[in-house]
Amino acid sequence: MSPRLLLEARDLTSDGLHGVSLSLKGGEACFLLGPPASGKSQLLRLLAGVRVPSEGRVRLAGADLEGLEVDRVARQVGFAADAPLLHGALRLRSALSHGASLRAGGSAAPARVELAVQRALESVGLSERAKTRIRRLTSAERLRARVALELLTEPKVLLIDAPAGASPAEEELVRELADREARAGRAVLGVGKEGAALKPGDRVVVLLSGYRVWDGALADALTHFDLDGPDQLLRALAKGEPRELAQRYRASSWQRGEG
Amino acid sequence: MSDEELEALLAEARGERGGAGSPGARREPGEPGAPAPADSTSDPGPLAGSTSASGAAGAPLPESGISRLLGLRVASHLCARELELLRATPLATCLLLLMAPLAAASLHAIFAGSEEGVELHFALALYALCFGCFNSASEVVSERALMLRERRFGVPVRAYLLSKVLVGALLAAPQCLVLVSLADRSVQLDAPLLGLYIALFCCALSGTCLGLLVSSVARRARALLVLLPGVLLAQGLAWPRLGGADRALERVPLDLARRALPLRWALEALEALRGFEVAWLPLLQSLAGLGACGLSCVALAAVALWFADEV
Repeated sequence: MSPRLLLEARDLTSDGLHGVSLSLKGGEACFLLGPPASGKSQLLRLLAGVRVPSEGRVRLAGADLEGLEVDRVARQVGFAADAPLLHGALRLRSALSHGASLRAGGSAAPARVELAVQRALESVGLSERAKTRIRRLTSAERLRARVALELLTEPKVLLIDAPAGASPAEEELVRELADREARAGRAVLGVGKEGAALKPGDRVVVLLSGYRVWDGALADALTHFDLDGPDQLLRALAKGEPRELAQRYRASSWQRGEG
Repeated sequence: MSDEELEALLAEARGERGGAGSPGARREPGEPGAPAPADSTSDPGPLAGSTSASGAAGAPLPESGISRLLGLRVASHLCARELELLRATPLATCLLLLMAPLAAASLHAIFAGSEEGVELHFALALYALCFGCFNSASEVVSERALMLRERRFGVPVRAYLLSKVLVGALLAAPQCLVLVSLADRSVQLDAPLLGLYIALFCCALSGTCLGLLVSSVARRARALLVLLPGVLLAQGLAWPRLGGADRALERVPLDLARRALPLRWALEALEALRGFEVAWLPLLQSLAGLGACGLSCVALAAVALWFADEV
Protein backbone atom coordinates (compact mmCIF):
# COMPACT_ATOMS: atom_id res chain seq x y z
CA MET A 1 0.00 0.00 0.00
CA SER A 2 1.46 3.37 -0.93
CA PRO A 3 2.03 5.84 1.93
CA ARG A 4 -0.87 8.11 2.69
CA LEU A 5 -0.70 11.75 1.63
CA LEU A 6 -0.72 13.58 4.98
CA LEU A 7 -0.08 17.21 4.18
CA GLU A 8 -0.85 18.96 0.96
CA ALA A 9 -0.38 22.63 0.20
CA ARG A 10 -1.65 24.12 -3.04
CA ASP A 11 -0.66 27.50 -4.50
CA LEU A 12 0.06 29.12 -1.17
CA THR A 13 0.35 32.87 -1.46
CA SER A 14 1.05 35.01 1.56
CA ASP A 15 3.55 37.64 2.72
CA GLY A 16 6.60 36.83 0.62
CA LEU A 17 5.31 33.55 -0.80
CA HIS A 18 4.14 33.16 -4.39
CA GLY A 19 1.97 30.17 -5.25
CA VAL A 20 4.01 27.54 -3.42
CA SER A 21 2.75 23.95 -3.58
CA LEU A 22 4.05 21.05 -1.53
CA SER A 23 2.88 17.60 -0.54
CA LEU A 24 4.17 15.25 2.15
CA LYS A 25 3.42 11.55 2.58
CA GLY A 26 3.61 9.48 5.71
CA GLY A 27 7.12 8.14 6.25
CA GLU A 28 8.63 10.81 4.03
CA ALA A 29 11.30 13.34 5.02
CA CYS A 30 11.66 16.49 2.97
CA PHE A 31 14.10 19.34 3.40
CA LEU A 32 13.24 22.94 2.75
CA LEU A 33 16.23 24.95 1.59
CA GLY A 34 16.64 28.61 0.89
CA PRO A 35 18.68 31.64 1.78
CA PRO A 36 17.56 33.91 4.65
CA ALA A 37 14.25 35.71 3.99
CA SER A 38 13.27 33.30 1.23
CA GLY A 39 9.98 32.47 2.97
CA LYS A 40 10.90 29.19 4.65
CA SER A 41 9.57 30.10 8.11
CA GLN A 42 6.48 31.71 6.62
CA LEU A 43 5.76 28.52 4.68
CA LEU A 44 6.11 26.47 7.87
CA ARG A 45 3.65 28.79 9.65
CA LEU A 46 1.12 28.30 6.87
CA LEU A 47 1.59 24.54 6.90
CA ALA A 48 1.21 24.46 10.69
CA GLY A 49 -2.00 26.48 10.47
CA VAL A 50 -0.51 29.30 12.51
CA ARG A 51 -1.14 31.75 9.68
CA VAL A 52 -3.80 31.70 7.02
CA PRO A 53 -2.69 32.12 3.41
CA SER A 54 -4.19 34.94 1.40
CA GLU A 55 -4.58 32.44 -1.45
CA GLY A 56 -4.30 28.69 -1.70
CA ARG A 57 -5.10 26.04 0.86
CA VAL A 58 -3.51 23.44 3.11
CA ARG A 59 -5.06 20.01 3.61
CA LEU A 60 -4.23 17.68 6.46
CA ALA A 61 -4.99 14.03 5.65
CA GLY A 62 -7.48 15.23 3.07
CA ALA A 63 -9.27 17.75 5.30
CA ASP A 64 -9.00 21.48 4.77
CA LEU A 65 -6.93 22.96 7.60
CA GLU A 66 -9.25 25.93 7.99
CA GLY A 67 -12.18 23.64 8.69
CA LEU A 68 -10.44 21.73 11.47
CA GLU A 69 -10.39 22.64 15.16
CA VAL A 70 -7.28 24.59 16.10
CA ASP A 71 -6.22 22.18 18.84
CA ARG A 72 -6.66 19.20 16.56
CA VAL A 73 -4.36 20.78 13.99
CA ALA A 74 -1.84 21.64 16.71
CA ARG A 75 -1.82 18.03 17.91
CA GLN A 76 -1.44 16.55 14.45
CA VAL A 77 1.01 19.02 12.98
CA GLY A 78 3.99 19.37 15.30
CA PHE A 79 5.78 22.66 14.70
CA ALA A 80 9.21 22.86 16.30
CA ALA A 81 9.56 26.58 15.68
CA ASP A 82 12.73 28.53 16.26
CA ALA A 83 11.29 30.23 19.34
CA PRO A 84 11.66 29.89 23.13
CA LEU A 85 8.94 27.29 23.65
CA LEU A 86 10.35 25.92 26.92
CA HIS A 87 11.23 27.74 30.14
CA GLY A 88 15.01 27.97 30.36
CA ALA A 89 15.00 27.78 34.15
CA LEU A 90 13.20 24.43 34.31
CA ARG A 91 14.76 21.02 34.02
CA LEU A 92 14.08 19.37 30.69
CA ARG A 93 11.93 16.53 32.02
CA SER A 94 9.91 18.90 34.15
CA ALA A 95 9.34 21.38 31.31
CA LEU A 96 8.20 18.58 29.02
CA SER A 97 5.93 17.14 31.73
CA HIS A 98 4.23 20.50 32.15
CA GLY A 99 3.93 20.78 28.39
CA ALA A 100 2.40 17.31 28.17
CA SER A 101 -0.08 17.98 30.99
CA LEU A 102 -1.21 21.22 29.41
CA ARG A 103 -1.50 19.67 25.96
CA ALA A 104 -3.74 17.04 27.51
CA GLY A 105 -6.01 19.69 29.00
CA GLY A 106 -4.77 18.99 32.51
CA SER A 107 -6.64 15.69 32.71
CA ALA A 108 -3.99 13.12 31.73
CA ALA A 109 -2.92 10.59 34.33
CA PRO A 110 0.62 11.27 35.61
CA ALA A 111 1.76 7.88 34.32
CA ARG A 112 0.59 8.75 30.81
CA VAL A 113 2.38 12.08 31.00
CA GLU A 114 5.57 10.37 32.16
CA LEU A 115 5.29 7.85 29.39
CA ALA A 116 4.83 10.51 26.74
CA VAL A 117 7.81 12.47 28.09
CA GLN A 118 9.98 9.37 28.27
CA ARG A 119 9.12 8.44 24.69
CA ALA A 120 9.80 11.92 23.41
CA LEU A 121 13.12 12.18 25.24
CA GLU A 122 14.27 8.85 23.89
CA SER A 123 13.15 9.74 20.39
CA VAL A 124 15.43 12.76 20.28
CA GLY A 125 18.25 11.16 22.27
CA LEU A 126 18.02 13.43 25.31
CA SER A 127 17.15 10.90 28.03
CA GLU A 128 20.45 11.42 29.76
CA ARG A 129 19.98 15.20 29.82
CA ALA A 130 16.48 15.00 31.30
CA LYS A 131 17.53 16.52 34.61
CA THR A 132 19.50 19.37 33.02
CA ARG A 133 18.10 22.88 33.10
CA ILE A 134 17.13 23.95 29.61
CA ARG A 135 19.27 27.08 29.69
CA ARG A 136 22.29 24.81 30.20
CA LEU A 137 21.58 22.76 27.07
CA THR A 138 23.59 23.43 23.95
CA SER A 139 21.92 25.00 20.95
CA ALA A 140 21.69 21.59 19.26
CA GLU A 141 20.21 20.04 22.41
CA ARG A 142 17.65 22.82 22.58
CA LEU A 143 16.65 21.98 19.03
CA ARG A 144 16.22 18.36 20.09
CA ALA A 145 14.19 19.55 23.10
CA ARG A 146 11.87 21.58 20.89
CA VAL A 147 11.29 18.54 18.72
CA ALA A 148 10.66 16.43 21.83
CA LEU A 149 8.01 18.94 22.93
CA GLU A 150 6.19 18.50 19.65
CA LEU A 151 6.49 14.71 19.78
CA LEU A 152 4.50 14.64 23.03
CA THR A 153 1.25 14.56 21.09
CA GLU A 154 2.52 12.02 18.52
CA PRO A 155 1.81 14.29 15.54
CA LYS A 156 1.26 12.90 12.06
CA VAL A 157 3.25 15.72 10.52
CA LEU A 158 6.39 17.25 11.99
CA LEU A 159 7.83 20.58 10.89
CA ILE A 160 11.33 21.36 12.16
CA ASP A 161 12.63 24.90 11.82
CA ALA A 162 16.39 25.18 12.18
CA PRO A 163 17.71 27.87 14.54
CA ALA A 164 18.63 31.19 12.97
CA GLY A 165 22.27 31.02 11.99
CA ALA A 166 22.31 27.25 12.38
CA SER A 167 25.72 25.64 12.19
CA PRO A 168 26.37 22.80 9.72
CA ALA A 169 26.20 20.43 12.70
CA GLU A 170 22.72 21.72 13.55
CA GLU A 171 21.61 21.31 9.94
CA GLU A 172 22.91 17.77 10.09
CA LEU A 173 20.91 17.32 13.28
CA VAL A 174 17.72 18.50 11.56
CA ARG A 175 18.37 15.89 8.89
CA GLU A 176 18.99 13.18 11.49
CA LEU A 177 15.82 14.01 13.43
CA ALA A 178 13.75 14.28 10.27
CA ASP A 179 14.96 10.91 8.98
CA ARG A 180 14.32 9.27 12.32
CA GLU A 181 10.77 10.57 12.64
CA ALA A 182 10.03 9.72 9.01
CA ARG A 183 11.04 6.14 9.70
CA ALA A 184 8.43 6.14 12.48
CA GLY A 185 5.80 6.94 9.87
CA ARG A 186 5.49 10.70 10.16
CA ALA A 187 5.63 13.18 7.32
CA VAL A 188 8.53 15.46 8.19
CA LEU A 189 9.63 18.76 6.76
CA GLY A 190 12.99 20.04 8.01
CA VAL A 191 14.39 23.45 7.25
CA GLY A 192 17.98 24.04 6.25
CA LYS A 193 19.98 26.93 4.94
CA GLU A 194 22.37 25.33 2.50
CA GLY A 195 21.83 21.61 2.45
CA ALA A 196 25.47 20.61 2.70
CA ALA A 197 24.44 17.86 5.11
CA LEU A 198 22.00 16.30 2.67
CA LYS A 199 22.49 13.16 0.61
CA PRO A 200 21.86 12.85 -3.15
CA GLY A 201 18.67 10.85 -2.68
CA ASP A 202 17.10 13.29 -0.19
CA ARG A 203 14.03 15.17 -1.30
CA VAL A 204 14.56 18.91 -1.21
CA VAL A 205 12.29 21.85 -1.82
CA VAL A 206 14.16 25.05 -2.67
CA LEU A 207 12.62 28.45 -2.06
CA LEU A 208 14.04 31.63 -3.53
CA SER A 209 12.36 34.94 -2.71
CA GLY A 210 9.14 33.09 -2.01
CA TYR A 211 9.14 31.07 -5.25
CA ARG A 212 9.48 27.29 -5.29
CA VAL A 213 12.27 26.71 -7.75
CA TRP A 214 12.78 23.02 -7.06
CA ASP A 215 11.01 20.06 -5.51
CA GLY A 216 12.64 16.68 -5.90
CA ALA A 217 15.74 14.65 -5.22
CA LEU A 218 18.88 16.61 -4.50
CA ALA A 219 20.82 14.66 -7.14
CA ASP A 220 18.22 15.60 -9.75
CA ALA A 221 18.44 19.24 -8.69
CA LEU A 222 22.16 19.18 -9.33
CA THR A 223 21.53 17.72 -12.77
CA HIS A 224 18.74 20.18 -13.53
CA PHE A 225 20.82 23.20 -12.56
CA ASP A 226 24.05 21.68 -13.90
CA LEU A 227 25.96 21.82 -10.61
CA ASP A 228 28.72 19.68 -9.12
CA GLY A 229 27.80 19.62 -5.42
CA PRO A 230 24.99 20.57 -3.01
CA ASP A 231 27.08 23.35 -1.51
CA GLN A 232 26.89 25.16 -4.88
CA LEU A 233 23.11 24.96 -5.10
CA LEU A 234 21.98 28.12 -3.34
CA ARG A 235 24.94 30.20 -4.51
CA ALA A 236 24.23 29.26 -8.12
CA LEU A 237 20.49 29.87 -7.79
CA ALA A 238 21.03 33.24 -6.12
CA LYS A 239 22.34 34.52 -9.45
CA GLY A 240 19.10 33.66 -11.23
CA GLU A 241 15.74 35.39 -11.32
CA PRO A 242 13.48 33.47 -8.87
CA ARG A 243 10.33 33.81 -10.97
CA GLU A 244 12.08 32.52 -14.07
CA LEU A 245 13.68 29.67 -12.15
CA ALA A 246 10.25 28.71 -10.80
CA GLN A 247 8.77 28.77 -14.31
CA ARG A 248 11.72 26.75 -15.61
CA TYR A 249 11.12 24.13 -12.92
CA ARG A 250 7.38 23.95 -13.63
CA ALA A 251 8.06 23.52 -17.34
CA SER A 252 10.66 20.81 -16.77
CA SER A 253 10.22 17.06 -16.75
CA TRP A 254 11.33 17.11 -13.10
CA GLN A 255 8.08 18.75 -12.04
CA ARG A 256 6.65 16.72 -9.18
CA GLY A 257 3.12 15.44 -9.35
CA GLU A 258 1.00 17.44 -6.88
CA GLY A 259 -0.92 14.96 -4.80
CA MET B 1 10.65 11.63 41.19
CA SER B 2 12.97 8.70 41.79
CA ASP B 3 13.86 6.22 39.08
CA GLU B 4 11.91 3.51 40.93
CA GLU B 5 8.78 5.65 41.04
CA LEU B 6 9.14 6.47 37.38
CA GLU B 7 9.51 2.80 36.53
CA ALA B 8 6.38 2.03 38.51
CA LEU B 9 4.43 4.73 36.69
CA LEU B 10 5.67 3.54 33.34
CA ALA B 11 4.75 -0.01 34.23
CA GLU B 12 1.29 1.18 35.18
CA ALA B 13 0.99 3.03 31.90
CA ARG B 14 2.12 -0.01 29.98
CA GLY B 15 -0.60 -1.96 31.71
CA GLU B 16 -3.19 0.59 30.59
CA ARG B 17 -1.92 0.29 27.07
CA GLY B 18 -2.24 -3.47 27.01
CA GLY B 19 1.43 -4.33 27.38
CA ALA B 20 2.66 -2.39 24.41
CA GLY B 21 6.24 -3.11 25.33
CA SER B 22 9.14 -1.02 26.44
CA PRO B 23 8.37 2.67 26.35
CA GLY B 24 10.35 5.10 24.34
CA ALA B 25 12.32 2.49 22.46
CA ARG B 26 10.96 3.64 19.13
CA ARG B 27 11.33 0.63 16.90
CA GLU B 28 11.64 0.74 13.17
CA PRO B 29 8.53 -0.19 11.21
CA GLY B 30 8.66 -3.84 10.37
CA GLU B 31 10.45 -4.85 13.53
CA PRO B 32 8.56 -7.13 15.88
CA GLY B 33 6.33 -5.01 18.11
CA ALA B 34 7.12 -1.85 16.17
CA PRO B 35 4.68 1.04 16.66
CA ALA B 36 2.14 1.61 13.98
CA PRO B 37 2.99 4.34 11.52
CA ALA B 38 1.98 7.78 12.64
CA ASP B 39 -0.55 8.09 9.88
CA SER B 40 -2.47 5.24 11.39
CA THR B 41 -4.85 5.99 14.21
CA SER B 42 -4.16 2.79 16.09
CA ASP B 43 -1.37 4.29 18.27
CA PRO B 44 -2.37 7.82 19.05
CA GLY B 45 0.15 8.09 21.88
CA PRO B 46 -0.10 8.09 25.64
CA LEU B 47 -1.74 11.51 25.83
CA ALA B 48 -4.55 10.54 23.51
CA GLY B 49 -7.87 10.15 25.24
CA SER B 50 -7.00 12.96 27.64
CA THR B 51 -7.76 15.79 25.32
CA SER B 52 -10.81 17.61 24.18
CA ALA B 53 -10.26 16.31 20.69
CA SER B 54 -10.11 12.72 21.80
CA GLY B 55 -12.58 10.02 21.23
CA ALA B 56 -14.50 8.05 23.81
CA ALA B 57 -11.53 6.10 25.11
CA GLY B 58 -10.11 7.67 28.25
CA ALA B 59 -12.50 10.59 28.17
CA PRO B 60 -11.37 13.62 30.16
CA LEU B 61 -12.41 13.83 33.77
CA PRO B 62 -15.59 15.84 34.16
CA GLU B 63 -15.12 19.46 35.15
CA SER B 64 -17.88 21.48 36.74
CA GLY B 65 -19.33 24.52 34.99
CA ILE B 66 -17.63 27.30 36.98
CA SER B 67 -14.35 25.42 36.98
CA ARG B 68 -14.52 24.99 33.24
CA LEU B 69 -15.55 28.62 32.79
CA LEU B 70 -12.47 29.85 34.64
CA GLY B 71 -10.24 27.09 33.31
CA LEU B 72 -9.35 26.11 36.88
CA ARG B 73 -7.97 22.67 36.02
CA VAL B 74 -5.50 24.07 33.53
CA ALA B 75 -4.84 27.08 35.77
CA SER B 76 -3.79 24.76 38.58
CA HIS B 77 -1.22 23.14 36.27
CA LEU B 78 -0.02 26.55 35.19
CA CYS B 79 0.27 27.64 38.84
CA ALA B 80 2.36 24.55 39.58
CA ARG B 81 4.68 25.49 36.73
CA GLU B 82 4.88 29.10 37.93
CA LEU B 83 5.77 27.99 41.45
CA GLU B 84 8.44 25.69 40.07
CA LEU B 85 9.83 28.60 38.09
CA LEU B 86 9.93 30.74 41.24
CA ARG B 87 11.88 27.99 42.97
CA ALA B 88 14.14 27.51 39.96
CA THR B 89 15.08 31.18 39.90
CA PRO B 90 15.83 31.92 43.58
CA LEU B 91 17.86 35.05 42.85
CA ALA B 92 15.09 36.71 40.85
CA THR B 93 12.50 35.68 43.45
CA CYS B 94 14.62 37.05 46.29
CA LEU B 95 15.14 40.34 44.44
CA LEU B 96 11.38 40.69 44.05
CA LEU B 97 10.83 40.00 47.74
CA LEU B 98 13.65 42.38 48.69
CA MET B 99 11.73 45.27 47.15
CA ALA B 100 9.59 45.41 50.30
CA PRO B 101 12.34 46.05 52.87
CA LEU B 102 13.98 48.50 50.46
CA ALA B 103 10.71 50.38 50.11
CA ALA B 104 10.29 50.37 53.91
CA ALA B 105 13.82 51.72 54.29
CA SER B 106 13.08 54.60 51.95
CA LEU B 107 9.85 55.29 53.85
CA HIS B 108 11.91 55.41 57.03
CA ALA B 109 14.38 57.82 55.45
CA ILE B 110 11.64 60.18 54.30
CA PHE B 111 8.90 59.91 56.89
CA ALA B 112 10.63 58.70 60.11
CA GLY B 113 8.97 60.24 63.14
CA SER B 114 6.39 62.16 61.13
CA GLU B 115 2.67 61.65 61.39
CA GLU B 116 0.51 59.88 58.90
CA GLY B 117 -0.59 62.10 56.04
CA VAL B 118 -1.53 62.04 52.41
CA GLU B 119 2.14 62.04 51.41
CA LEU B 120 2.74 58.85 53.38
CA HIS B 121 -0.43 57.29 51.96
CA PHE B 122 0.70 58.16 48.47
CA ALA B 123 4.11 56.60 49.04
CA LEU B 124 2.66 53.45 50.61
CA ALA B 125 0.13 52.96 47.83
CA LEU B 126 2.68 53.68 45.11
CA TYR B 127 5.10 51.15 46.57
CA ALA B 128 2.38 48.50 46.80
CA LEU B 129 1.36 49.20 43.21
CA CYS B 130 5.00 48.94 42.12
CA PHE B 131 5.34 45.57 43.88
CA GLY B 132 2.49 44.17 41.85
CA CYS B 133 3.62 45.76 38.59
CA PHE B 134 7.22 44.61 38.91
CA ASN B 135 6.16 41.11 39.99
CA SER B 136 4.16 40.56 36.83
CA ALA B 137 5.48 42.94 34.17
CA SER B 138 7.82 40.47 32.54
CA GLU B 139 5.56 37.45 32.96
CA VAL B 140 3.75 37.41 29.64
CA VAL B 141 6.26 39.08 27.36
CA SER B 142 9.05 36.73 28.41
CA GLU B 143 7.06 33.64 27.47
CA ARG B 144 4.88 35.02 24.74
CA ALA B 145 5.85 32.41 22.14
CA LEU B 146 5.27 29.60 24.62
CA MET B 147 1.91 30.94 25.74
CA LEU B 148 0.65 31.52 22.21
CA ARG B 149 1.75 28.00 21.21
CA GLU B 150 0.00 26.47 24.22
CA ARG B 151 -3.11 28.48 23.43
CA ARG B 152 -3.37 26.47 20.21
CA PHE B 153 -3.54 23.30 22.30
CA GLY B 154 -6.58 24.63 24.10
CA VAL B 155 -4.90 26.30 27.09
CA PRO B 156 -7.30 29.20 27.64
CA VAL B 157 -5.87 32.68 28.00
CA ARG B 158 -8.09 33.25 31.04
CA ALA B 159 -6.50 30.30 32.83
CA TYR B 160 -3.08 31.58 31.92
CA LEU B 161 -3.80 35.06 33.30
CA LEU B 162 -5.51 33.62 36.38
CA SER B 163 -2.41 31.61 37.23
CA LYS B 164 -0.26 34.72 36.85
CA VAL B 165 -2.54 36.72 39.15
CA LEU B 166 -2.55 33.96 41.78
CA VAL B 167 1.22 33.67 41.78
CA GLY B 168 1.47 37.48 41.82
CA ALA B 169 -0.77 37.46 44.89
CA LEU B 170 1.52 34.94 46.51
CA LEU B 171 4.45 37.30 46.06
CA ALA B 172 2.55 40.45 46.98
CA ALA B 173 1.24 39.03 50.26
CA PRO B 174 4.64 38.89 52.04
CA GLN B 175 5.80 42.08 50.33
CA CYS B 176 2.86 44.07 51.70
CA LEU B 177 3.22 42.41 55.11
CA VAL B 178 6.85 43.45 55.33
CA LEU B 179 6.05 46.96 54.09
CA VAL B 180 3.26 47.53 56.64
CA SER B 181 5.11 46.01 59.58
CA LEU B 182 8.36 47.89 58.91
CA ALA B 183 6.54 51.14 58.14
CA ASP B 184 4.70 50.78 61.45
CA ARG B 185 8.03 50.80 63.28
CA SER B 186 9.31 54.01 61.74
CA VAL B 187 6.18 56.05 61.10
CA GLN B 188 3.26 56.82 63.37
CA LEU B 189 0.57 54.97 61.47
CA ASP B 190 -2.84 56.25 62.38
CA ALA B 191 -4.82 53.30 61.02
CA PRO B 192 -5.60 49.67 61.90
CA LEU B 193 -2.71 47.59 60.60
CA LEU B 194 -4.88 44.77 59.32
CA GLY B 195 -7.00 47.20 57.33
CA LEU B 196 -3.88 48.91 56.03
CA TYR B 197 -2.47 45.56 54.98
CA ILE B 198 -5.66 44.55 53.18
CA ALA B 199 -5.86 47.87 51.33
CA LEU B 200 -2.22 47.71 50.24
CA PHE B 201 -2.53 44.06 49.28
CA CYS B 202 -5.52 44.88 47.08
CA CYS B 203 -3.52 47.73 45.59
CA ALA B 204 -0.62 45.35 44.87
CA LEU B 205 -3.03 42.88 43.27
CA SER B 206 -4.37 45.64 41.09
CA GLY B 207 -0.76 46.47 40.24
CA THR B 208 -0.20 42.83 39.32
CA CYS B 209 -3.07 43.04 36.87
CA LEU B 210 -1.73 46.33 35.50
CA GLY B 211 1.68 44.70 35.04
CA LEU B 212 0.07 41.81 33.19
CA LEU B 213 -1.70 44.25 30.89
CA VAL B 214 1.58 46.02 30.13
CA SER B 215 3.28 42.67 29.60
CA SER B 216 0.54 41.49 27.25
CA VAL B 217 0.63 44.64 25.16
CA ALA B 218 4.43 44.64 24.85
CA ARG B 219 5.64 42.50 21.97
CA ARG B 220 9.24 42.57 23.17
CA ALA B 221 10.83 42.90 26.59
CA ARG B 222 12.46 46.17 25.55
CA ALA B 223 9.04 47.77 25.21
CA LEU B 224 8.62 47.40 28.97
CA LEU B 225 11.29 50.06 29.41
CA VAL B 226 8.84 52.59 27.98
CA LEU B 227 5.48 51.16 28.95
CA LEU B 228 6.13 50.40 32.60
CA PRO B 229 7.46 53.84 33.61
CA GLY B 230 4.65 55.32 31.53
CA VAL B 231 1.84 53.64 33.43
CA LEU B 232 3.53 54.28 36.79
CA LEU B 233 4.13 57.96 36.07
CA ALA B 234 0.49 58.28 35.01
CA GLN B 235 -0.47 57.30 38.57
CA GLY B 236 0.74 60.74 39.60
CA LEU B 237 -2.63 62.03 38.41
CA ALA B 238 -4.09 60.32 41.46
CA TRP B 239 -2.42 62.85 43.74
CA PRO B 240 -5.35 64.45 45.55
CA ARG B 241 -3.96 68.01 45.58
CA LEU B 242 -3.26 68.67 41.95
CA GLY B 243 -3.59 72.43 42.47
CA GLY B 244 -3.99 74.42 39.27
CA ALA B 245 -4.21 71.31 37.24
CA ASP B 246 -7.51 70.49 38.95
CA ARG B 247 -9.32 73.12 36.92
CA ALA B 248 -8.01 71.67 33.73
CA LEU B 249 -9.12 68.28 34.90
CA GLU B 250 -12.61 69.63 35.49
CA ARG B 251 -12.76 71.26 32.09
CA VAL B 252 -11.76 68.17 30.23
CA PRO B 253 -13.29 64.98 31.54
CA LEU B 254 -9.98 63.66 32.79
CA ASP B 255 -11.63 62.94 36.09
CA LEU B 256 -12.95 59.82 34.43
CA ALA B 257 -9.40 58.83 33.64
CA ARG B 258 -8.48 59.25 37.30
CA ARG B 259 -11.11 56.68 38.16
CA ALA B 260 -9.15 54.18 36.07
CA LEU B 261 -6.07 54.71 38.25
CA PRO B 262 -5.60 52.05 40.94
CA LEU B 263 -3.59 54.52 42.99
CA ARG B 264 -6.56 56.82 43.29
CA TRP B 265 -8.71 54.04 44.81
CA ALA B 266 -5.87 52.95 47.07
CA LEU B 267 -5.53 56.49 48.42
CA GLU B 268 -9.25 56.61 49.11
CA ALA B 269 -9.04 53.27 50.92
CA LEU B 270 -6.18 54.50 53.10
CA GLU B 271 -8.06 57.72 53.81
CA ALA B 272 -11.10 55.69 54.85
CA LEU B 273 -8.96 53.84 57.38
CA ARG B 274 -7.45 56.95 58.92
CA GLY B 275 -7.93 57.64 62.62
CA PHE B 276 -8.87 54.09 63.60
CA GLU B 277 -12.49 54.94 62.81
CA VAL B 278 -13.07 52.97 59.70
CA ALA B 279 -15.43 54.57 57.19
CA TRP B 280 -16.80 51.28 55.92
CA LEU B 281 -18.76 52.45 52.91
CA PRO B 282 -15.95 54.52 51.36
CA LEU B 283 -13.54 51.71 52.22
CA LEU B 284 -15.62 49.09 50.46
CA GLN B 285 -16.20 51.43 47.52
CA SER B 286 -12.49 52.02 47.10
CA LEU B 287 -11.65 48.32 47.43
CA ALA B 288 -14.31 47.61 44.80
CA GLY B 289 -12.68 50.30 42.66
CA LEU B 290 -9.33 48.56 43.02
CA GLY B 291 -10.97 45.27 42.06
CA ALA B 292 -12.62 46.84 39.05
CA CYS B 293 -9.30 48.34 37.92
CA GLY B 294 -7.65 44.92 38.25
CA LEU B 295 -10.40 43.09 36.41
CA SER B 296 -10.39 45.67 33.64
CA CYS B 297 -6.64 45.27 33.21
CA VAL B 298 -6.94 41.49 33.05
CA ALA B 299 -9.80 41.72 30.56
CA LEU B 300 -7.79 44.09 28.36
CA ALA B 301 -4.76 41.79 28.65
CA ALA B 302 -6.91 38.87 27.53
CA VAL B 303 -8.13 40.89 24.54
CA ALA B 304 -4.54 41.82 23.63
CA LEU B 305 -3.48 38.18 23.79
CA TRP B 306 -6.57 37.04 21.93
CA PHE B 307 -5.49 39.06 18.92
CA ALA B 308 -1.79 38.24 19.26
CA ASP B 309 -0.23 36.20 16.47
CA GLU B 310 1.74 33.09 17.19
CA VAL B 311 5.46 33.25 16.43
